[in-house]
Amino acid sequence: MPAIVDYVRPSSVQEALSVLETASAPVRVIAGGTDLLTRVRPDAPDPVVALDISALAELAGIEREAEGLRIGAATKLADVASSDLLTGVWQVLACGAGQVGSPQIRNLATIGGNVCNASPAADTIPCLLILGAEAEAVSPRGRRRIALDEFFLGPGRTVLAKDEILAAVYIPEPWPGAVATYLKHSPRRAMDLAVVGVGVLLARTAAGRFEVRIALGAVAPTPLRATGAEALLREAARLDDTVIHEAARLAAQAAVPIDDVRASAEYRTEMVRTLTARALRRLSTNLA
Amino acid sequence: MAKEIVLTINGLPHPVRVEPDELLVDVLRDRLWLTGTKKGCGTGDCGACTVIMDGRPVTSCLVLAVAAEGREILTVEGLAGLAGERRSTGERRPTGASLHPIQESFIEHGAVQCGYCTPGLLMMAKAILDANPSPSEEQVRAGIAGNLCRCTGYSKIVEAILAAGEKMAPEGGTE
Repeated sequence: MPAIVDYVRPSSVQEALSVLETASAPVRVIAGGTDLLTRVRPDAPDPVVALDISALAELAGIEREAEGLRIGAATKLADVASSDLLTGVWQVLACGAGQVGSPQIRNLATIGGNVCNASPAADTIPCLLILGAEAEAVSPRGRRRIALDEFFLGPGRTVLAKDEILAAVYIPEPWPGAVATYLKHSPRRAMDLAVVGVGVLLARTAAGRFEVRIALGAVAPTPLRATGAEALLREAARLDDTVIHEAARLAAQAAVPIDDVRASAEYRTEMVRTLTARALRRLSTNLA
Repeated sequence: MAKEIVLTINGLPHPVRVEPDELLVDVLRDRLWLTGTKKGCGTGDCGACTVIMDGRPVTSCLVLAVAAEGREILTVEGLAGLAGERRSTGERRPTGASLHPIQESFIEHGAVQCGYCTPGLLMMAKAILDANPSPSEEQVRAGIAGNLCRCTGYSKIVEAILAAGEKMAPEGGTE
């Protein structure tokens, strides 16, 4: 359990990376602090230096680029939720970001923090996965892009090295006419973690088939893609009830949830099936 | 390693020496004696500690005091026409006896019972109405979704906020 013994607010990425390398105590990157500050105690046994990256220009803002959208890691979730640049199917990310916590939390929390905190239940992650997002990490050794499908190792664990900072997420141009939805199942309309999160993106190919991505949250050690369900849907000629029912069943099979205070594994599995079917029905109507 | 910082609260500079792990809510309450902001949970779950920082409502229990330096912070003490106070002089000088229309509305509509959630809700109400002077009931309820109230059942609070919006609209600003 960490205790913050020093606080540094660098003015450049270079300086931030230098702090990561040279600090006298282990460093914890902080942006909004909405996860880290719920875990610190003044008398906790693990002294850490808080490295505040929230004001770094390179990590700020949402930009339209040739290949799609770049979202700086320090972009607040409130700004993701209300951005005019998240048009068309990209709106699904605004929808996911807008369901994290509360308005107050979203004015502090960042998309980079939601991704790097790597809760299996994070709301932005299924949305990013179905949009085909990539992460950009920066370190003294340079930059690298990581497909978000390969970013998560377990609850709270990512592939980022100790000297790496997440700089941005990139979202590519979508398939033409794609539609998407993120369904968050939780007891209240705010302030709850997802008991189950289901993100689905659907598009028609030129050949008249379907292209699809399905991402599940809160039902495995990491957010994950329901690849069996996706494969079935790619082979389907029509999205009729039989196909949707079978895809939802396969998605539920992909889930490996646990029993915890929020729900039983059995309930979560059932809700994956229910929400996947619901998402597919809604989207197939939108697509038609 | 303590740091000397200056917090700008309700328009006034407040120099204070803080440890790097001190939370804004604790510095407001225990160091600056601005006890209007309440600490209900300390984990960002109840909204009682809501203040407005650089125009955005935030839970001050999730803000490090050192991170709040250089920002404009509005607390409930700043709503009522109190210009703020310096502990060093012991001065407590209201510049006017009037309450903010939102505060008046909460009283008129019976939206205060034990009062512990109230400062956080007043600040959230101000933030909602600053961004959207004529919100719908649904928008108000969504806006206060991060503020818990044990006593009122929220109905009176929602009515008070809607009524305050009407008092403050159309050309009346929020001050």
